[in-house]
Amino acid sequence: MKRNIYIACVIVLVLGGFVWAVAALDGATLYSANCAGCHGPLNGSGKNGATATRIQTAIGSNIGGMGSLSLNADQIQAITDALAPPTIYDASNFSVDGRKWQPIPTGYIAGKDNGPGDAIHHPGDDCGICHTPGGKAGNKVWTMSGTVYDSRAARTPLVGAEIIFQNISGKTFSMTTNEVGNFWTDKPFFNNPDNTDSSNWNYKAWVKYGNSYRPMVSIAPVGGGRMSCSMHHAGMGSRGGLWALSTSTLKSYPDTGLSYRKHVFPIIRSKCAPCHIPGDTTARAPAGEPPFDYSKGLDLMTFEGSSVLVPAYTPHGSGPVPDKTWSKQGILSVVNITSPASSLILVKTLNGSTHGGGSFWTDQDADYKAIRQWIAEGARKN
Amino acid sequence: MNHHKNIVSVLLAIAMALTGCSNGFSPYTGAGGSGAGKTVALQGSQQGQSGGLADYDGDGIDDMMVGAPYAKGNGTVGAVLIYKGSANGFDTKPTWVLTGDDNFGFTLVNLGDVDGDAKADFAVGAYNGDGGDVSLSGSVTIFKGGSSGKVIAKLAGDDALDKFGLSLSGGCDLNGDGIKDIIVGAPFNSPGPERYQGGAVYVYFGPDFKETTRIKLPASMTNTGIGFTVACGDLNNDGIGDLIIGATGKVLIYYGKSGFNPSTNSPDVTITSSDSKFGTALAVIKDLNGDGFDELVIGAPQATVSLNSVNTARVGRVYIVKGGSGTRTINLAAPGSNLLTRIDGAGYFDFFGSSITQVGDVDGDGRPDLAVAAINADKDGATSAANGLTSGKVYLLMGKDIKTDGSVTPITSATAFNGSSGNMRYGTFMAPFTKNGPKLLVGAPTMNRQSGGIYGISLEGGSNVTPSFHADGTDSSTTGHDCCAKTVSKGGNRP
Repeated sequence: MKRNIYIACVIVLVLGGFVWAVAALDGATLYSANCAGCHGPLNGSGKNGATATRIQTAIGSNIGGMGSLSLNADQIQAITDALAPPTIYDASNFSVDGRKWQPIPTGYIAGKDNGPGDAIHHPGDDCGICHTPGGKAGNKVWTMSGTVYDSRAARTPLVGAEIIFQNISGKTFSMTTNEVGNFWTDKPFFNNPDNTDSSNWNYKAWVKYGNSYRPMVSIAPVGGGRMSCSMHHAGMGSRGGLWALSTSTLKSYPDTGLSYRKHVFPIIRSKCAPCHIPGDTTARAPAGEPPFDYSKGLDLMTFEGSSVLVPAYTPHGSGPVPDKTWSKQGILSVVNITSPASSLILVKTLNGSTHGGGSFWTDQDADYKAIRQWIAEGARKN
Repeated sequence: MNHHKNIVSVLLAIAMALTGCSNGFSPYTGAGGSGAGKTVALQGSQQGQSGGLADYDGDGIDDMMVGAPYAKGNGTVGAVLIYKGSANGFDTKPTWVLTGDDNFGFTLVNLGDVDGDAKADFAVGAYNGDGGDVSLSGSVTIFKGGSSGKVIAKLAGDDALDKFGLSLSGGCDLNGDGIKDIIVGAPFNSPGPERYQGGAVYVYFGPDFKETTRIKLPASMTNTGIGFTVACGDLNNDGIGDLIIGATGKVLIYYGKSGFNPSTNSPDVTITSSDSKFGTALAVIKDLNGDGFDELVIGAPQATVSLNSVNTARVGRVYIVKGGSGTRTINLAAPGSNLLTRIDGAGYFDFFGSSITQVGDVDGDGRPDLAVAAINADKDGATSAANGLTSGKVYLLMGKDIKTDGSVTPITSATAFNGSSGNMRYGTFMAPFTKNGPKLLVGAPTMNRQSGGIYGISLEGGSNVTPSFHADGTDSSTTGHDCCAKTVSKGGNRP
């Protein structure tokens, strides 16, 4: 079946070649001719947000048979442009799932929305306890604040990281972290005149440091009436980006003889665990939307996968919730020993176009190469 | 970006040059020192996150040890600063500095004598440390007291990001062999997918602390949230230490015995409470009610307490549960005679009960006394962070003032010691010691832009020690911390 689809794609490519002279840089047409056969119509394509590098890499690596495509750089860029999301968002893509990764906004001044004062206290704490109407710091109510660390290991705070919001009207807001990793603002970025009701806050968020950036899983309309950690984070550090620095997880790796326990699992737990964990990973959705599973059926904290029964009393929604078993696939399901670079764990994270967690690294980064080498050595549980 | 560069410049400017040697131990040489190697920047180091006293160099006098888990060195993060002790105080600047794995110094505990040389040994936790065959699991290094830095053993967690060593306890013999053991918490350990990040507690037995003989109490389906708090003491008065661990909504006690290897789900005593963060702090104090058993003090620093109609959250409270023998299940909502008293915090967001320590019998009345910290309490009279809001307070409770009939002990019966400035987390750790009378070390790790510091309280005088000392990197004293000469001023804030 797949072979037939590949053939069909090639046929479309050949037949379409005749009109390239006039439509060569029409991204939508190029997409229809070269991509839609496998990835569906442009409107609603699962490849929305794909970068030119990502597409080129897929072709070069023959992922999904794409090696047969013959597209030059301009044509790939045209397809990329066609796949780019609209700059101005509207309510239709502010569902919980619609908040997943999109390219970061551009054309604004970093740090332009930093709050007043220097805020060098209580890094890592829940700012909203005090900076809320009636709180100890009720005279300085923040609309959003927090702390950024170097990684999930939280060795050190990250100074100079940027936190970016884009609201439903397309307006961009930017804060930068100070010497203790704190950021904060009192700007009403949520585009809702009633700032006391956070259930109506509509925005997307990213964390950026240098050229590395992470989308946040934004579950903004969670209610509660004030800024809260649960808009982006779940218990014990799951959900939410929590890391932006592109440096490697460990200080060094051997060239060969990679160990899953010593070298690979630290990377995966540090960078994949915000989402791909066992058990209940439901993010509560606004009224009218189904709960959102941010793990997408993957438990990368286990090698073989997991099956976890969640008792009815687990509060992942309102009202009675029946017992549910969350069965997820593990590391083994995302590695390809015969073609390590084609492993899902590397492909999804290399450029991030279809990855809700965004792009993690380039193929020259140490973490990427360590995982690829470990897979090449047999992806053993060593 | 300029802001970033400025900060880096500041860090470099205040960096203290230290000479290095292979075991991570460095004698302090002062700013700009000519040693071969390491520098440790105290700006942002949060010194005062942990601390304690032990005789580091073997001169017979205890030295002051302060954990600075975010001190940045040459490729290292974290340090333990050791201020050499003298008859009346400590050196003004760190005399020695220990560095190690990442975030070394987040925890520090005096273990007592674990190797039979009659000198107290100590352990330091690094929650991002490594083991021989595991990375980023967290580690704990056990140092030989009086040896100037010799390592007895290094321990590591099971898996990356377990945060092994985030809690530590020692000074107890849990298996009755006459040698003290060490207890390590790893709150992010995952015993299985269904107990993801449920945590675990490990006990390593002295004198060799071997991996092969350690025991592990993993989270179970009914006991989770394990490893954030560990403690020990002899609560059933059988002469053998007992293991005490905090779990979500519970405190679990396992009586020590020969061949100690309990199952998580088979504690001898279970104490439950619905108070938020119940079990975050634990301490064992001597017999308070005269029944022959030591007592257990439990903090619930984010407990809701009805102070007024507006703000009740995160006030915090402390329970004192009486020791005893036999199996017990105690629900603190209906504790019966198991509860000696309860003490409620004084203010919204105070976090009363965030750390607790016994301080001996300061007034000599035969009853144990107690110090309880409220790390977010406001300095008296504070109206803003600039003048002391959220400074933290330490409350000294004398045994004679603590109820034992189950009724509430009013916090007004305690002597309150204010943190000196806003947002310093005064009381994050407390360690009693004796130097010309009973004193208390108090950590304030977030003062001075997260540089942190250490303060002293004279328990005997009910006042801050004079002259006051602090180790925040800004102390201009050149004469040493003569903190403890017997010239304390009387007073304090006792009503």
